[in-house]
Order: sequence, then structure tokens, then C-alpha cells
Amino acid sequence: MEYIRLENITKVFGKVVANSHVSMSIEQGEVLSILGENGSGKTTLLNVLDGIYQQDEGKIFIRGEEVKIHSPRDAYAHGIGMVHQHFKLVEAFNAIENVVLGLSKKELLAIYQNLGEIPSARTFPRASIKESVAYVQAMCARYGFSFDPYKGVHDMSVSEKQTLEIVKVLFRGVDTLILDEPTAVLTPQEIVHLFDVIRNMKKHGKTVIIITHKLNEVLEISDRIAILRKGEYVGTVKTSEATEASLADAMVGEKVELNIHRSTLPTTGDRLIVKNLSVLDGEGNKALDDVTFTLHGSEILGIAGISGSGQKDLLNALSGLAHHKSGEITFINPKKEKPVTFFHKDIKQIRELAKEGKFHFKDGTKADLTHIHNKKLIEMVNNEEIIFYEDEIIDLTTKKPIEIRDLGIKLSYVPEDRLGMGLVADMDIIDNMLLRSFRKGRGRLLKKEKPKELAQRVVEELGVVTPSLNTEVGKLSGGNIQKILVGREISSHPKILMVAYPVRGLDINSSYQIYNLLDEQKKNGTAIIYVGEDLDVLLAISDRILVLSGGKVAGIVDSRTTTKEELGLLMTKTVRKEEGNETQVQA
Amino acid sequence: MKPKSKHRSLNFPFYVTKRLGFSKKKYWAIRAGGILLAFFLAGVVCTILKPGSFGTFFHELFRGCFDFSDISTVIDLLVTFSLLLLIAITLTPAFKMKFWNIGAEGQILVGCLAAAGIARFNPDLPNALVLILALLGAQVASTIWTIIPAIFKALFNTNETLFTLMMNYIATVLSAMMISLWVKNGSMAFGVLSNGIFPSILDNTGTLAVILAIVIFIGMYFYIKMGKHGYEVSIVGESRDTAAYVGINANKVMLRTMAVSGVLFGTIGWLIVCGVNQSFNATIVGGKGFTGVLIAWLGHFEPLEIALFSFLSAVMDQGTRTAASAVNISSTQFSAICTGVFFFVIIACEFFSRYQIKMHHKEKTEVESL
Repeated sequence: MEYIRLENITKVFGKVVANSHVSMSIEQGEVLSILGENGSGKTTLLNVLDGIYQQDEGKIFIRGEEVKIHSPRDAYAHGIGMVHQHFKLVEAFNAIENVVLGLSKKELLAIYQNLGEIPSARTFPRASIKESVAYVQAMCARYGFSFDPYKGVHDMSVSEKQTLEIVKVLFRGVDTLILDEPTAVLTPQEIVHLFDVIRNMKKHGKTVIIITHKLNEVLEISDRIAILRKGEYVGTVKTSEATEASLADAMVGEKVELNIHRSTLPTTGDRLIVKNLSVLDGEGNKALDDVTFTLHGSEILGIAGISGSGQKDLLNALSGLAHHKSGEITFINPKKEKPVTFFHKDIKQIRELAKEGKFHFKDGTKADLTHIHNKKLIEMVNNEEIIFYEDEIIDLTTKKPIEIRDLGIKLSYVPEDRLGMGLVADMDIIDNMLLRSFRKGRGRLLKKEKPKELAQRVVEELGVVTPSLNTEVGKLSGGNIQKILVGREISSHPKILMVAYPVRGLDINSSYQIYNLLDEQKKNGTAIIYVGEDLDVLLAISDRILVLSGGKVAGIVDSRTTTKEELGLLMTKTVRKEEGNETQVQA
Repeated sequence: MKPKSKHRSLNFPFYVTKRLGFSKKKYWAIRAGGILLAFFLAGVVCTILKPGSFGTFFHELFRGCFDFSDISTVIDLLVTFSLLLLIAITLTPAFKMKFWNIGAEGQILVGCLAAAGIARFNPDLPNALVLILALLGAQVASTIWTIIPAIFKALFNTNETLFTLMMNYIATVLSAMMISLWVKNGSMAFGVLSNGIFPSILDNTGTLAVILAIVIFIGMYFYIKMGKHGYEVSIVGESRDTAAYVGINANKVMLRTMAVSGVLFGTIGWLIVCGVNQSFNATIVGGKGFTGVLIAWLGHFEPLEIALFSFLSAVMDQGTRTAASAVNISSTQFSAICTGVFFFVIIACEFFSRYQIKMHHKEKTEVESL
């Protein structure tokens, strides 16, 4: 039976058409997936249904009657509620306070009536918070939620917060629940649990709409799949008639290759040795706790973990951005048999290194430079006659980013926050290329010839779609922004490349392009650290995976032999332990 | 039964949304219209105060600025223009860094104070030497005044807007105190300085000040648009995370930028005292420090736009003064009203070219009738 019908919905933001004449229907009691790439207009469409946005054109019908939804309150009145990707909870409140937040006494009483008799309730309910606990708990029991009404939101895991959001919406008596990217931040085990909850809601006659771009989950949970592409409605298919490949093709509009290429190469020696690294965050808590690992050349080390387990702190610490850290970070510069140059060493440093016996001449004899005049020495260095005897070992523990660069260590970093950290949104592509190199050269004025060449090369080689090199990067799409950032970072032929969530927000084709670029870098001998959230991708692209949990290393596994479930268990390892301790204390 | 939405508080019949994809041409057309409207409104105000003076107003306004038969009117206009220009461009690097310095008035005033003090108490030294000493003294004084809020922000993360605003009042009171200490006849103003004054060009000491101001403006143009410092400032202003990521010490850049501003504010104070006024009192900057803030902001921190608005605001200031005295109304107050109208209209244009007002759908929602 048709329940909700969207007719000709169009939503425009300035020049961007987020939804263009979308007409589709939602049936009562079904689990419907809205599938589409990033930027295809999924969230906008459902935000219109939830009353957060007003459609510019088109109508919404519920049970055949046209309705106007001007706000989420209107949506609630029509039995529609939404759980947003970024939760909208008050951190300082506890669970029950968040559930009843914004409801008037009259509304609460109406909800009580709706939920039916609660044995312990009084005859004349007073709509107090204490009283509502009984009703919320009765409702949770019905759906099989575990719910602690007095737990503070700030103490909750992501999964608990999500449950609370769902409880909040269900308590308001909705029939239709919209979930925006609900699995994005969950572990595999939590996803299984969430799907049980969704099936349970369906059993109770609720309609569930899931916004997602993950194909395997769509196939697992939904009854029907509606596909959006570039703001337009492509069609709805029955899940039983769909495959991953057919869905991907429909999403992108052309045939796509869904295999991540992973070269199997011998590693080229240790590149980075991290020992007992601990980092304190702004409040003095341990963001990283005793982390130890070794990174090799020609390998991709994946970093997995629940978001906020110390991934960002690890990368910041390695790149010299963290302030309060202890432990050891050692970089091994592969210099053996390579000539010393004046690129990052001056004469004095070369003489000192020679005293330590770091160099030998081309004929293999040890280089003793004490009796050689500066002029002769400069000539010898320029002729590449002085050769490193062994790899250079550099202690990075206390180095700042600028010192790391001055030491000639080619360490590149593609941070999670592309426009807030890696690039400057208001500057054009050329000026953004300049970010890493603007200090080069004498004089007070900027020199833009080389960055311009680099910008041109990146745009051509990575296929960046841009009106010109003078376009502000903030105006480009997510995929193009990321290509510019990655392009700049790999242009220096890094020895170590760190990438954080490099495909977040990117379309399928751009994502695979980034995966291929990383594999190319690996072939060049680069040691790569890949922080990711999609475990399927992490398993497919990395050689080894380091799992962080609560700032600690929960394990380092070989990604060719491990499974997603194993990773999921490791991700929650320490968290579980803590919860166990707490229960013991309470008992 | 479902919870009904009963309280829909603050339901205005309209809402404001951001305009996107507004063409540059249209934007400038709106601005040009706004500028014309501002001058028209100034004429209307004048007519209200003195009925029938509408035509005279515009005639006098034009004559007061562009009377080439009396070169001193043109030089006076250029003096106001170049000082506003220099103040606005000096504020620009700090604003680009999102350091909201609204203390230019006081920062210039302490420079004026130092320059005037040095000139007054060294009547016997050669003029050129006094000029150099006055310049250095003014630069030191203004730099101290400018960098104090920056130091506090770097160390304690104090709010620079409030800090620099308060420093204005301290500067005014300090100036008044020094005058009452130095000038014993109770006039609260220096007599005309006898030493440490600019040489006359075209029979006006202000001419050299104009030339120097424009030369410094060109230097600042390159500093901001093409220099490594200007680039660093833009990065720090955009995101401190990006700055850290590329190894820029944001606090160092902030202190350095404010020191540069301080040196220039001192120079401006010196230009005002030794070049333009040859005198000193506690209101010598005359609000230009505040006007400069508006101009820098309206010019989007772009040197050429800043030049345009400096010029228009100088014309508005001096033209309305002349017009007011011609039709016999209080020139200072009238000029202040007109400058106010001018900026009000331009800011309104700014708002409406970024945002638009849309009405809500009129029909009642069915929710409420349910």
C-alpha cells in the first residue's frame, strides 16, 4: 500500500540543484534504502520530508492527502522522524532528559496515552521526567533496546548515542523513521545489532528509510532500494532483484570496476620506528597510550578504530603537530650508497657527520674530511663523490613540522580536514600548491612559476575538473579538492605518506583513483599510513592493519588473513574491558 | 493522537537566505546604485534642514572637492583621502588574519602625541633631524600601543576587539593629560609647531604627506598581495590548523603583523602632526581610525576597493562640509550625519547582495487545523 508519495520535489541551493523533480513512493511497513553517491541529493530529499528544508517545487502526499511540512515538528505531527548523521543531542544532559527535551506537558500526556497503560503509573500523571522514565523503558522493552535513562550523553559510545536518537524519535510516536547514514560510524558488531533493531521496528509496523551509499548493507537490510543520481531519481528496485554490481552501475550511471588493486611487494626496510608513543590531548587525557609499531617501505599500514580512538593524534604526533608527547619516533632515511648533497645539509653538518664516520668515498674508503678545504669539499659534494655509508637515523620525537622539513625528511600528510587544514578554501589552486613551498627562495616576494607548473601537472595527471588554475579550491567538488591535496602531497616523492580518510565524501570513481594512486606510491617505495573507516576498503588496500582502541594498540594484523569481524572485536577490545570493570564496581 | 505543534514561536512572515551565484556585475551595479543613493539622501537631509537647498547642495559639494582653480581644496581632499587609504590598508593585514583591531584611532593618536612632543621640546635642532626623531618616536609609541593587545592575545587569548577598543580611550585620556601637563594656559591644544614640519609643496605642507602616504600604500599593496608575509597572514586568518600543518607559528605571525601595523600607524600619526596639522590635540585623528575600519571591511581587504571607498568617503566628508557652510548649517554635525548615511546605505547594499529575504508560503498548514 502506498503510504508516502513525493511528487516532483525540486530543491535548489543557489545555482546547485540538489533535487530535480524527484517523484517516488514509500510503502507502509517497508525498509527502503535511498542509495546514491555523495552529493546525489539523498539527505536533501529526506530533509525536505522531515521539514528541515522546504521544497521549491513539488508536493508531499501522506495516505493520498497532500501535506505541508514546514518544520521537524510538523513532520512529527505526521508521524515522521529523522535520525541525522551528526547526532543532535545535548552532551551535558542524560538520556531521559534528551528524550523529553522540547515536549510540553500536554504533548507528554498525549504520548503517555498513546503508549497505553503502564501498571505502575498514577491515575493523574504529572508529566515529570521521573515519570516518563517508566514509559520510555516500557517502550524500549517492546523494541528490545537496552536503555539506561540516567547515563550522560558525554559518557556514551557512538552506538549508544544512536540508540538514544532512535528512542527519542520513537517516543514521539512516529510511524516512519528516517536514518541518515546510520552505519557510518559503527563497528561490524554494532551494525549487526542496529539491523536487528531495524527488523524489530519493521515487525512493529514501522516504516524505515535508510540513507546510505554502502552497497552490501543495502542488500542485507532493505526490502526495496530507491536510487538517486546527481539529484535525479533513477528508479526503485526490489532488493531480491539487485546485485552489488547492478546497483553500483545504476548509482554512477556507467559501468564501474569495484576491485581495489593491491600490489604484493617485498618491503624495503624499516622506515619509521615508533616506540611507547603517548600523547596528551588539550585536557590532559591520554589520547594515545603507549603506541609501538614499525612502518616499512613499500607497504600500506592501515589504521582501524572507532572514530576518536586516537587516529588523528597519531598522525599529528608523527608529523610534529602534537604538543605533549612522550616516547620515541625514529625515522630511517634510506641514504645508504647515496651521495650527500647541499639540499638539506650545510658544510658544517657534513663535516660533523664525517667525524662520526657516516660517509665513504666512491672507492669504498672511509671519508676523512678534516684535512680538506671548504672549496675542495664543496666541489666533491657537487660531484657526488661523498657517499653515505649507512642509512641516516633521525630522531623525530621533539621535532616540529618545520624542523622535519628542514632536515630533508620527505613526510607528506593528507589530513582528514581537507579545507580546514590541508588546503585553504579561499585560495586558488596555484596558491594552494604554494603552501608547502612558499618559503623557498630568497627575497620577500612569492615566486609562483613552479607552483603554477605543479598545479598544471596535478590537474592534468589526476584529471581535476576545474574552470581554471585560478579557481578557489573551496568552489570545487569534494573529489577534485582531494585530488589537489593528494597531488600536492605526493609531488615531493615522499618517503612517508600519511592519509586520513582519503575517500570520505568522494564519488566511486574518484575513490578508486585515490586507491590506485596510493598503490602507485607503494610501488615507488613509499611507506604509507592509511587511516580509514570502511573496513572492507582497509582490508582490501592495506598490507597490515593496526587497530587502535581508546588510544592503545589493540593489535596489528595481516590484512590478507584477517576478517572484518576480527577487526570489529579488536576495535572494541579495551572499551569492553572498561565496561566490564564498571559493572563489577556497580555489583 | 499525536503531539501537535502548538507553539511555533518567533514565526516571522519572512526568512533570510543566502544568495548564491550572484554575478560580480550585478553586485557592483547594486553598490554603484547605493553610492548614488547615499549622495541623494545627503541632499535630502540638507533640503530638510534648509528647504530649497537641494541644487545648491550638489553644486557646493562638487565645488568643495574638485575646484581646480583653488588647488588647496584639491590638496585637502587628497589629504583626507590618502590618510583614510593608509589607515585602511594598515588595518588590512590584521583583518585578513582575523585579528579585529578597532583601535586604530588610539594607535595613531599615541603616535601623534609622541611626534608632537618631540617637535615641541626640540625647537633648536635642525628641522630635518626633528622630523626623523619625531617619526621614530611616533613609530615606537604606536608600535607599543598596537602590540600590547597582540601580546595579551598570544599569551592569554584575550579578546582583541574589546582590548583595542579600550586602548582608544586610554590613548585619548593620556593625550589630554600630557597636553594639560605641557600647555599651561589651559587651552587643551598645542600652538602651531615651530619646528619639525614638512616642507611646503604647492604652498601646502600636506602635499608631501599625500605623496608619502600613497608611496606607502603601494608598498603595502605588494606586501599584502605578493609578499611571503602577506601569504602567511592569509593562511593564519583562514585556519590556524592549516598554519600549523605547514609549519607557520601563528602567534609569531600575529605579533609581527601587529608590529608592522604599529610602525605604520606611528608613521600616520607623524604625517598628521608634522605634515597636515602642525599642531596637536586629543581629537586630532578625528574618527579616521574608525572610518578606516569600515573602509577596510567594505573594501573586502582588497587594496583597490579600499582606495575607491577611501576616495568616496573623503568626498562625502569634505564636500558636505563645504556644502553645509554654504547653506549655513552646522558643518561638522551635518558632515557626520552624511558620512553615517553613506556607510549605512553601503552596508545595506552589502547585506542585500549577500542575502535575500523570502516570504513564507501564505497558506496555513494543515497541521494546525488537524
